[in-house]
Amino acid sequence: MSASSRGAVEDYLDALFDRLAGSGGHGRRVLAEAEDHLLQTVDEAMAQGIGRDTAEREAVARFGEARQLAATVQAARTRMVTVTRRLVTFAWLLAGVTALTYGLSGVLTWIIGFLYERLLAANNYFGTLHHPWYLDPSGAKVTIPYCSSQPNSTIGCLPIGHDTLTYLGQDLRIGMFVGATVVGLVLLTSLAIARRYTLIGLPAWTPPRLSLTTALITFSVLAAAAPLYIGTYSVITRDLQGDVLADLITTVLCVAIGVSAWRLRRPRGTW
Amino acid sequence: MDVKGHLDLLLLATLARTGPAHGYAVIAALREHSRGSFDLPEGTVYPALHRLEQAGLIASQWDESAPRRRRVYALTVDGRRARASKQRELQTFFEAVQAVIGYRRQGVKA
Repeated sequence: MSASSRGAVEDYLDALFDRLAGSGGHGRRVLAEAEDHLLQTVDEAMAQGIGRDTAEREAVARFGEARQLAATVQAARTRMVTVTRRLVTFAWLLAGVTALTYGLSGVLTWIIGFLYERLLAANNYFGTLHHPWYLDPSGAKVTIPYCSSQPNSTIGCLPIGHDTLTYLGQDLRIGMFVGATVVGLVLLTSLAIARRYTLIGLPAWTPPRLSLTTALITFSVLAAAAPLYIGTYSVITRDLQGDVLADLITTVLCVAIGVSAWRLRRPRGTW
Repeated sequence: MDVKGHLDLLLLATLARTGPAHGYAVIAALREHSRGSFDLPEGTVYPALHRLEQAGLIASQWDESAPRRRRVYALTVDGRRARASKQRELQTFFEAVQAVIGYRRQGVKA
């Protein structure tokens, strides 16, 4: 801060700073604008022969009470309609991320599971099978050739709710995952297009960066917790024939979302 | 002079006239163009500028070339449309008021 900002201007900026606490980047912007404006006003008044103290007092008086300005700025920032608009954008994004994560976890498991199944078979991990969908229709003990002849059928693909959905059949399950992947991609692509060409791209529709990334990090941590625990437990107990692949892939996807959100929490241009 | 209800149009019209400008210049131009009638306090103008930006009618960016970092505002395409629309509304309103005032004057004279 330059020498001309000391005195009334500095006191005013301190007061404004205190009242804008917690307002994030917008508050810092208001402060910077206020500082520039007040210093320019003071400089011009002094150039006309007015003393610095008087110039600062007059500049501050013109600017209005710090408390009232901060309240007006905060109110404009948090109007209900703005909050609602941002929630719409956030819900749109979260729905896309959730659908894509869910769908992609199943699709990737289905694809990688083909190789994983053969890896298990090659290492003789199919000695004792205990899940009902591992049994062949006659109820006989499952054999390695049977498992190998049923691509991916022994891999639980569903990271969420697999206990109920695995009985629906493999075709239906992979169809659901592909469908969820497509829905997620459509949601995220349409959001990107809408933000590029419509009012959705305006600041009034854009959730604050910190709130958005915090929500995504929270989502990724919560979504990764259960599959990480189950997957790790399965690996430790060498129960590798169940849903361990799905659990670990889901964990990796959630971690990727969390890390991306963490890296985006600081501005590097416009979101 | 009370500009309540017309502040948005005044700011949009000022930015249309000056081109991209920072808050201080907007306030000064508004004062100058109105021949001193609209000498608005900064505490009114800055929140209004932020509100217009939120609505997408103006856009802003930091100007790093000045000795002090400044936020420069400019009209968007939507802002130009909004300015034209508000200006037409106000014109219609003025004409209606003038018609009413003229009628009353006639009545008084009679």
